[in-house]
Amino acid sequence: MDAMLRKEISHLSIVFNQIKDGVYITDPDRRILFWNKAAEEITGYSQKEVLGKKCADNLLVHTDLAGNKLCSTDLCPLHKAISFEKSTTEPLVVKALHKNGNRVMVEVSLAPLYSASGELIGGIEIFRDASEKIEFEEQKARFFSSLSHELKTPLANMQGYLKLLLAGDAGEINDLQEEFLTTIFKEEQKLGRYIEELLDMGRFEGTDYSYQRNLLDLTDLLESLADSFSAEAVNKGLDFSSSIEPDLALFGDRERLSQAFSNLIGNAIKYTEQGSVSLKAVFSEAEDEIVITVKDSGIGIPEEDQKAIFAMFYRVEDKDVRSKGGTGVGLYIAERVIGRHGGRIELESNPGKGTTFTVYLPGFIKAPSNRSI
Amino acid sequence: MTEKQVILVAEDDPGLNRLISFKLQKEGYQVISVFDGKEALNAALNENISAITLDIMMPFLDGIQVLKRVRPVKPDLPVVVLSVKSRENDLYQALELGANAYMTKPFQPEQLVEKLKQVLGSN
Repeated sequence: MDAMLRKEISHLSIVFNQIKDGVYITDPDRRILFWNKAAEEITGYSQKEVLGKKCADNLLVHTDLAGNKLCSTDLCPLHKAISFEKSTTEPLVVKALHKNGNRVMVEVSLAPLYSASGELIGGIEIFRDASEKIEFEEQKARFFSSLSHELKTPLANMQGYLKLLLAGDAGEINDLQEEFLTTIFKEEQKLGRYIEELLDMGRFEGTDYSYQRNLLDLTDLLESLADSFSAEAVNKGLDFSSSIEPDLALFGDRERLSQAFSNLIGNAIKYTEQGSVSLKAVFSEAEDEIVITVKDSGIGIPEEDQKAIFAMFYRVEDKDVRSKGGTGVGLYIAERVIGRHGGRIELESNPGKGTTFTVYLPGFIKAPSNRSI
Repeated sequence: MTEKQVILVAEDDPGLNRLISFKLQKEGYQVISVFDGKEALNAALNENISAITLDIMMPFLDGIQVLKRVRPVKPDLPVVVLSVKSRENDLYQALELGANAYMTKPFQPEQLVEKLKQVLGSN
């Protein structure tokens, strides 16, 4: 088996040594058989120093961002890739130890390797230095946080003054003045919503490394969203129903998932003038995943727009739809967040009849013993 | 009606300061407006005031420093601190130092009035 892999590697080493990403290849026991030039640069270890060693020999001392050790544990991403024969779908960000003792952030992708006859012969890890990227992301997050303050403060002040004027606190106003001031007030509120959406995008885009992976109660999250949105739907004269299976749980980022589902439910209400909006969540035993559907009887999405609807800033080009306002980042955020949790969103829509968004998320049913009291 | 209660409004954003002050005056309070931490400290120690709305991020002295120096002298003075949500550590610190309540920015002036009435009432 080794011989076969070694032969393949010697064929490919010319290529591997040309690329800027670190690449190393191991046998099924994670013993390093190949280590390219970029790997030498990123880690400080030469191929000579590492060949034959197990990646778990505490060479790079991979940890997750919280500092939990991954090497020599079942959490080792390479171990997972080989033993479950599953490639990573998105690069993972982990910390690795450089030979000089510094911690470097690396983005790693992993995959099992097979012989031509389909036999598992090892694993491959491809990694790149992500320190600069992460530094940039952190700067961006700080920028958005201060931008958020700088933009929202004057808006809130203006709203405060307008309220005083409208209440007659600064002297009586005539009808025309009231009309104009009301218009300013509404336009200002609209501006506030757009800013909020753009800031959401800033917060949610890119900063993947900062995703939390906490055990969270999805049933609870969805129920509280259903609570807050049902009032909005009922105000609009819509029927709102929800049916959420108890004890749905997953590992993830509560704030971000909440934002993703808010966007889906909010959109459903926004684009439905009459009829109903419903939220449903069940655990699918067969697929071992949680299935959440958000269904509305609204205007629907034309077929030609259905593919592009998740793109950033995408708005369906329709006079009536444009009048709803919005920046077109809601679904984009939703898809990113769901994707980051290993899930996907599908959509089915008939213009004029309604739209159903179906979210598939890896998750589980909390064991009864874990149920909160 | 008895003598008006005096509120010290310490806020460096002139637009917000005027807004808060105007609203408080409408509500029947007398207001002293200051725009930085030094002025705030000076007024808090030397004027006969009933409460402070204290912004945390201010020039010269921040709200935390002001609170630290005012508390030993006036342990019972009601203080409402103001800050943006992204700096919630400041708010926790202010509460530990004896602030009575906090508001996260942005807020509407009537919300602040409400808070002030609460802390004045409980005093």
